[in-house]
Amino acid sequence: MNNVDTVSTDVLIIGGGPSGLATAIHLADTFAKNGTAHRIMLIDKGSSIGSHILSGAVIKPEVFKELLPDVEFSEIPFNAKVVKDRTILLSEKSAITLPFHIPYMSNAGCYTASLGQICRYLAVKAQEKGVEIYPGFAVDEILYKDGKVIGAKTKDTGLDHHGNQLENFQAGTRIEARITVFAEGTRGSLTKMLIQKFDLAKGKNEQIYSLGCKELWSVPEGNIKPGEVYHTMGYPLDSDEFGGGFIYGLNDNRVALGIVVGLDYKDPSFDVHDAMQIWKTSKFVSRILKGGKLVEYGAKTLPEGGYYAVPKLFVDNALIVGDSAGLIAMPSLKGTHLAIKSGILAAKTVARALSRDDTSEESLKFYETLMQNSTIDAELFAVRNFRQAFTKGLIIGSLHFATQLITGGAGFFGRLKTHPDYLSTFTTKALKKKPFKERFKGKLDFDKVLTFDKSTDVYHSGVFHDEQQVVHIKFNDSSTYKTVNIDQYGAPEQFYCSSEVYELHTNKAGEKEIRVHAENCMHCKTCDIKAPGQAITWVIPNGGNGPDFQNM
Amino acid sequence: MALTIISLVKQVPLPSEMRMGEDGLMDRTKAKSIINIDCQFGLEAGLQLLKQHPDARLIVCSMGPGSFEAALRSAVAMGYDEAYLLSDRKLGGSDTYATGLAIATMLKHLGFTKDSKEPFIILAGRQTSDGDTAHVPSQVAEKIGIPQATFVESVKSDGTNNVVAKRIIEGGYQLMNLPMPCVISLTPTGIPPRKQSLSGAIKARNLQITTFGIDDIGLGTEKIGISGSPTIVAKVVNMVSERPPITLAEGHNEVALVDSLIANLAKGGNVLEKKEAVEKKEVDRPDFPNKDF
Ligand SMILES: Cc1cc2nc3c(=O)[nH]c(=O)nc-3n(C[C@H](O)[C@H](O)[C@H](O)COP(=O)(O)OP(=O)(O)OC[C@H]3O[C@@H](n4cnc5c(N)ncnc54)[C@H](O)[C@@H]3O)c2cc1C
Ligand code: SF4
Repeated sequence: MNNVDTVSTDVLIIGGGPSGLATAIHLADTFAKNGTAHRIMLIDKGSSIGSHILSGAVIKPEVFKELLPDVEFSEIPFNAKVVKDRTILLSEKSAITLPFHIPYMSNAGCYTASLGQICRYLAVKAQEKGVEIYPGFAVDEILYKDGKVIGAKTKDTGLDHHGNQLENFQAGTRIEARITVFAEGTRGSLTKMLIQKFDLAKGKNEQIYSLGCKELWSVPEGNIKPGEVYHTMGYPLDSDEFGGGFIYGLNDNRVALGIVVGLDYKDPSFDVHDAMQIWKTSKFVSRILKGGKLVEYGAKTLPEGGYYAVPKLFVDNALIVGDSAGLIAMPSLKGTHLAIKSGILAAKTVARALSRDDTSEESLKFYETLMQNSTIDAELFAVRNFRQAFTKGLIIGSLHFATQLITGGAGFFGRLKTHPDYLSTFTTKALKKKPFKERFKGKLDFDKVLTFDKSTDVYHSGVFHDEQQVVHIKFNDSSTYKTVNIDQYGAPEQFYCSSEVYELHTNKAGEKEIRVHAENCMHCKTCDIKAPGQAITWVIPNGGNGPDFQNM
Repeated sequence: MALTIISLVKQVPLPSEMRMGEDGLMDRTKAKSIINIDCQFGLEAGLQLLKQHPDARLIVCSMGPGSFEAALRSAVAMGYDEAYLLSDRKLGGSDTYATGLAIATMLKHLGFTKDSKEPFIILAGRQTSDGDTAHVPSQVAEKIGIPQATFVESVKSDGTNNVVAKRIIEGGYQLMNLPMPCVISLTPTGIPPRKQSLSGAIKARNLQITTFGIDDIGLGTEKIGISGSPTIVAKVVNMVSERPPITLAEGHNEVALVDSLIANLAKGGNVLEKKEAVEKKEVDRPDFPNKDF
């Protein structure tokens, strides 16, 4: 009984975001052109393609022409062309439009879009080209043979909270693949294991992340035009908190907005979701939302370490693409075009390797060569020290950035270093400034019209998790958890978690403990990144679980 | 001889998205679809029987439009082997009587008759969320002419050609021993349906579903469709609840919850108002005077 089924494929792609789908499409096209028949399988943990995709998004469109040369551009479900592009210095009551663009931040020629919609479109194209797409399956194990990747396995389901098999146990499926492409997006769970196992980040900067909380609104006609794009700096963030707001006008009187905050902030009680609510009460933002209605909520992290934090992206039989590879260009916050470009380059590498029947590391090194000669490398290199400069705060950061502009990206030093985000958090005692709740006293009563508490927002994400499964939040050392995370840091997870998964509770004996409401989880991965001492590991829950984003 | 496990499934709109059409029939065009929840429990019951009969053949059947193929593929992704769909425009508007007849005719056509040499068992959901009649499993049993047990929570093979069905009755359970072939209808209280497996989903993707029209199975038009259905929808009534709307107490912990409850009570409002209105109406009615006994 309970025999594990095995299937085999030539190429396995884990993740159906822009990077995975681009890999699949370009591979299918290349195989068709070469007249070779190879099996391509793509798996995503969302219940459907797009349901776990969240982005801004203002997207650079050129790469789509490269990916889909035979398609009329107008067929791709972009939203509106950017017609107005402003950077705003925000305070509670005022908004000053900067008279210039911060270099590398211009959005001219870009389009607003729901990346989820674009991914659904790409999935249809991929399927037409013969790619097998299976949404609703969580891949949670890398398969190795003789120390080399030989595929991956989907998660066993039908387990109780302790991991015991229930009567409806269904074993996962082993997928043996000649080449496996990791396209898991930000903080990929398997990618993390792969990087550790092969020490792929050796000699690189530590990857650092931001968390973005986003809402989609429907607003009265005239509040904002399709294609109007605003980025805000300042309020409600302090100068030592990196980040800002975005407001993108969409068709049909919709607007996508949110804030993105670097997870290297110091205050253990800082709350990005709540900061976003406060940001919405500023005169500038509330004016745009006036009379409107919340449609959807979601959250996701994004890797910001840039050029120096990109790990080695190839090992025997495997490649890493997109956000999992850390390919996001700061300060413009754009990763979609790089995700697609990396997918195209990975596809070229895979096709070449299969045609030579050589999937070794040596053969897949071709990916790195292609990357070095591509626009990805050029784009990331130009801003290679941008984000690191700001880990010292806005003023020093700006100074740094200014010198970088003059020196072509180098700044004062050739390469600025980073620390992992969790190390930046101060204990409650050591924090010199007012904690979040005091800082914004009187502003944290949410009115459910303009501002929402987390649980109301979470309700607007369509999130769902099977009751019967092992809780997908793993506390790595429960003995130190109380003394360190709760006592010294004041249980920061109740604040940094975008979706109210963690609740600090005092039990009958008067002891503080954390209760986990895993069913709320948005799969943003913040806890995996920000928990002091790396105390929490985010484990992939059952396939098909998680948010059900429609237009994020 | 190897057992055949037959599951009957129906695809239904997601209950939260269901709408009734103007004509009193269900409008199935707009909503997202799922396999009817009770039928999912029937599918799982079949997969449980497989543990006792590892060489059993698992087939899943449905009657409905072509879009029902999705439900059949989901069943295969859970672990079924073969899928049959009875799909014919002439079946449109069939009531439960006509549906039972049509499905029974298809099964007989496939060789599952009461005199069949090989044992088989038919599993179905207790009832569907878009019809709620619970008629069809019984109709199928009657039309094939085999025993049935309805409202069953679990079913086990007893090692001979019989099955033991645990049937829910008021205040307890009834254990029934049934000879195969038979029909069992399952309640959504047994073992919850398993999730699909990737290998199953791959099988489902490549599966050839056998689709029959009524001519293929030798079913005439007299007893099917709207004209062949004895059920008449006499009237559709929109039920308006007389009960005042419920105000929910909200809160993330006990303290907040109780605070919210107290605040709601303090605010008062609709509860009393509504009650007064009802009482008043009764007083106003001349033929039901409020008597003091
Ligand atoms: C708030 C925010 C705003 C942004 N704004 C912009 C913008 O304006 N413009 C822009 O160009 N970019 C923007 N980005 C970045 C952009 O969204 C990403 O760079 C892009 O989505 C990366 O694509 P990807 O394919 O690498 O990963 P993703 O889009 O994250 O896709 C990964 C997919 O893999 C699935 N997956 C992960 N692990 C597994 C597993 N183990 N098994 C099965 N499935 C798995 C996930 O469910 C997901 O569907 C923004 C990002 C955020 C968070
Ligand atoms: S539990 Fe972790 S991954 Fe889930 S929403 Fe909270 S912070 Fe994000």
